[in-house]
Amino acid sequence: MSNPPETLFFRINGDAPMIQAVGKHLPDGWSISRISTRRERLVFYDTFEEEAFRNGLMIMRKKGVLSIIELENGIVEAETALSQTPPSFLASDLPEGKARKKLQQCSEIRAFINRCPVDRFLSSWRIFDDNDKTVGTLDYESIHSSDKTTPGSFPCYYSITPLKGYHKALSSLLLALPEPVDAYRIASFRERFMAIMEAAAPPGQGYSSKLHLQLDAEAPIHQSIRRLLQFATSIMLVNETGIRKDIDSEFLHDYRVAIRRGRSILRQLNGVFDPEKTAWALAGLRELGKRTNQLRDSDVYLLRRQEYTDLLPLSLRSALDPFFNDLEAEKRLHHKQFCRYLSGRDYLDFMTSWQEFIADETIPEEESAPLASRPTAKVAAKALRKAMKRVHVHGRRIGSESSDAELHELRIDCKKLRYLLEFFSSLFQPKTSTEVLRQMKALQDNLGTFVDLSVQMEFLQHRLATIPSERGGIGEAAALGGLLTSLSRKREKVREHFQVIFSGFDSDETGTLFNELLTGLD
Amino acid sequence: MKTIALYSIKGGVGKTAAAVNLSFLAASRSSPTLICDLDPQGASSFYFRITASRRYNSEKFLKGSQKITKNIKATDYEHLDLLPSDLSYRNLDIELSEGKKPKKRLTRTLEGLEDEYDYLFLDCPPNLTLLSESVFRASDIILVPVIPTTLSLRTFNQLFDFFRDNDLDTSRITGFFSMEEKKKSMHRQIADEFRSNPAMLKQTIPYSSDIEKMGLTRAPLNATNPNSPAAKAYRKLWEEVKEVLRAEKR
Repeated sequence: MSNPPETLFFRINGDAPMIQAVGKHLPDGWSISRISTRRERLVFYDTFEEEAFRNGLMIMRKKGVLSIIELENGIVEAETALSQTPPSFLASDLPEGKARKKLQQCSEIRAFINRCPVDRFLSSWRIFDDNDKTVGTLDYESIHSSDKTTPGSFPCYYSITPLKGYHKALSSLLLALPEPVDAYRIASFRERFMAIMEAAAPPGQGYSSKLHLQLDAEAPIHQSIRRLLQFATSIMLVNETGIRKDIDSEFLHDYRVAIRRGRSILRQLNGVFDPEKTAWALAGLRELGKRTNQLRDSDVYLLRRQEYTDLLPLSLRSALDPFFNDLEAEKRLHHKQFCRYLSGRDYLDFMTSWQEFIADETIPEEESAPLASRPTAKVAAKALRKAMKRVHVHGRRIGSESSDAELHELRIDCKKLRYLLEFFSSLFQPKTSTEVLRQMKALQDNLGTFVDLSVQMEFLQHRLATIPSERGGIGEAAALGGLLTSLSRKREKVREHFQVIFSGFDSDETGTLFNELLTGLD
Repeated sequence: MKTIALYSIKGGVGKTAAAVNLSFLAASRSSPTLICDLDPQGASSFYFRITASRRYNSEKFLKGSQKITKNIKATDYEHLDLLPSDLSYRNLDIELSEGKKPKKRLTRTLEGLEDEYDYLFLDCPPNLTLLSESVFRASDIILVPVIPTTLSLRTFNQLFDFFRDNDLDTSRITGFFSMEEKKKSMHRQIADEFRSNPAMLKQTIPYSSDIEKMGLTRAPLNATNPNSPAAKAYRKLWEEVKEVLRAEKR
């Protein structure tokens, strides 16, 4: 669908007689003649979160070539061969080159999904001058869904492309065309692309896992939490298909974050619901989270393949192959198990009851849920102070001798505080909120890296103890040893840095910021 | 970019027909091609139905760069553009003689075209002037159509003499027999005699009414009648020219 920048596209509403209009306004001695009619299959790709589109790019496969095209001007930025039409692919699946780089800049972890295959029918005419020389082409483009499943209707376009050196010659013809209103309107490349996407109903439809709730400070907290839980549930549901199809690891990741976010808020803000009613829900969410743990672990280690390989000297790199082959096999197994669970009765029953629970608007009795009808802002302030205090108390206890478990605990405290801050963010001054979240992020990154490294080391240590001896075990052991050494060094550096980061967070400055944040809420 | 000059001191030997057909064969997606009509008669511009804009002239041509690119026009064939000639080109020699370093002027004029084109064909006027010398210096290969007659061979040899006398590289001269009529014994005899000459290509272009009809169809023969014997001969000739260009690169 790319086009030279000088092409003018006219969007047609109804059956406007463009050919007749052009024919009527031809200068003396000029003529037009049909040259060809052809069909092209176009397949558009983007990630679930539409990252290519957000980066101003269109990704399209046509005749075995994958093109990356600037939406602003229709210029092809990069091309690469793509002989098949895969349902999805990762940027790293493409051969080395500019196209791969461009897509990696959009996303390294999200897969590019076949969003819609369409058939484009093109009829072309040549416009001849009085010397019988072609001075431009006139094309009629109509688009149809190729899988017949797309209900939307696609717009049709006429376009006129002057040949090099004939812009002036054609300009009189273009100026003579009827006003580009109603029947004809000059359409930009971006508009043409958007029209196809709208008609094809893309799968993500503006998907974002980020929480953007606009809360009412005076609304009962019961209502605000239900809104949060409804959002989290919608994220879970929308990611189920991607998990089943194993399109990329982010579907499961977002699904798990939604579970954790819901569970964390429910647990921290106890007193808003009847504990008898939330007990099964919390247990259900916990069970759901647990069932995804092994699958997520496999995903995470497989994503680290390149990173681990790069940490090792060339001679040891291939020794990691059995390790990753086993991980792939385990992932297949865990994926199968979780998909079976997703399709089973237990999951269906839980989700049905859960959705009924979060849909119930009835505010519970004060006796069983004393906070339920309290204003959102008041509950927010109290919960945030409590969560912040917990981070401070636990953080100050951490020293160079502290155990991994203590740092892990602190990481969970931070996550809890983060979930509260994100949930209530619409109640705060945006500037102060951004600053507090920035400081939080620095602390969380440090703790996250530390705990991740510890978990990785434990995992590798376990693998080391159970290496299958018959498959080149010595080489793999050496490779794992190399990795453990590198990770251990990295972990110590992160630990050393913890105190600097934490004292930044535990400062008067952050305290003031935090107070500012809560001013007016109490 | 490879620059190929279609040149002969003599007129009516098939320069323009060769320039039009070879440039058509050279043009492809991976090798965009420009044909530059240097002859004020404008025969190759005529074959492609292209006329220069009213404001274009020899002075603008010699200025080069944007003045040239603004006046390049697309032919009816993909990846093949043409810079049309203008009657004012008859003054090119005078204008060249009035400027500095006239023999190197064309090289400077054509600078920048290599960003857009892989092949540049120069369709030259039939004479041996300052413009010709400038063409010789700007070209990677000087492709000379030779009718298998004594007079034509004589001018071919005169060209070698001129190159030697002016310290030009004779290895860049490549000839091919053009308008060969097999039924004429002298044509056969001369063509056979010179076939082994290293400066001559093996492929000959036959005398053909199909080529003459290009004046009526105003299109390359290889576009309108690719199965004609003359079109096939041009295809083989282009293969040989590409070989020469490859060897020249080495």
